[in-house]
Amino acid sequence: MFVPQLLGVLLLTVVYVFSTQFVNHLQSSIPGSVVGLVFCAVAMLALPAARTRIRPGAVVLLGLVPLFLVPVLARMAVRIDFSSPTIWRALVMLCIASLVGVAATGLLAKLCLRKD
Amino acid sequence: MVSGALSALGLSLLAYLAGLWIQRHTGNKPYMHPVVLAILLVAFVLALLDESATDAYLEHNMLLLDLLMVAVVAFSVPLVDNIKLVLREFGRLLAVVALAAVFIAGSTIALCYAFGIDAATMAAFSFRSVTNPIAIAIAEQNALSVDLAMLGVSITGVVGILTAEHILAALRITDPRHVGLVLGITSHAFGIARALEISSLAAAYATVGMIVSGLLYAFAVPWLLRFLPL
Repeated sequence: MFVPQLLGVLLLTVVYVFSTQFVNHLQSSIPGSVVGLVFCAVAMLALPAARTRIRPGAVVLLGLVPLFLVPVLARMAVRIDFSSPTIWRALVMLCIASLVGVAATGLLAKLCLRKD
Repeated sequence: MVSGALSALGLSLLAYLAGLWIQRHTGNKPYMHPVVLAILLVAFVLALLDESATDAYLEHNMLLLDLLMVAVVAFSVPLVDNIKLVLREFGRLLAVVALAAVFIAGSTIALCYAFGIDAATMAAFSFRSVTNPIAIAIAEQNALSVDLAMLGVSITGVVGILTAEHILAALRITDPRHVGLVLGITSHAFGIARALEISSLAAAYATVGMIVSGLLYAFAVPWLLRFLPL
């Protein structure tokens, strides 16, 4: 019971630990988890069996991402001083930047992607 | 020690389950996001306790943060699942993601200057459209404020899902591929959840957009930070 899921999580953890060590060895500013994502994608494309083993664990972890985010976002909610005018200025700026970003990305997608 | 850890993890779990329950019983509205509701519940509980309880809560939840980093590696599975889509339109997709990333980062930095926002906050906001787990990894690896990065990512995600479809409709952009890609690039995981409600094609493009832009930012941000007056 849950053996495929646990094996998948274990394999993903091994890739994460290896890629973090790799990044630390290179003293790179690129996150180890992102390098692990690339390593894992390459491994799964090269070895279809690896994909079968990793998938159950990935499904579990990706489904639980919202739960994993709760403490880090709660820390943000507790630590950031929302009574500060600077933060409110930043919030207004973020809202404007988000609206502009959506419009520009939409126009770029329409311009660059062909119609089927 | 063990009871403290269990209480902290239990608080996160209970708050998240309560968030899911509230969302389901309020008609699955996009603004009733279970994570947002869970954060409010946890913040409310922590506000009732003293500062040391907050520190203990965060310390005992490190396991969830570690698992979040492993989940970033797990994003390789949806990437490989959609690899045919990525390869079929690789050049065009990469062009959209790269140009959008440059525009989003550039416009954010320009607006930060216009609003008189300091350089450290500017740096933390520069990758605001990246999914939370990758944003945390980028912030930690580059010694930036994780809290400010999360603020930028969260506001971007929420504003994106609430407004993207209205903005795109006003610009006569209705192709589900375009809408999905925009949601993935600009609103990350929040956008994928919304794209899933539109169609599976929109969700596939949203997934590709989110992962490719996350990868691009992770490799570009360390280089970009050299040009900011930190």
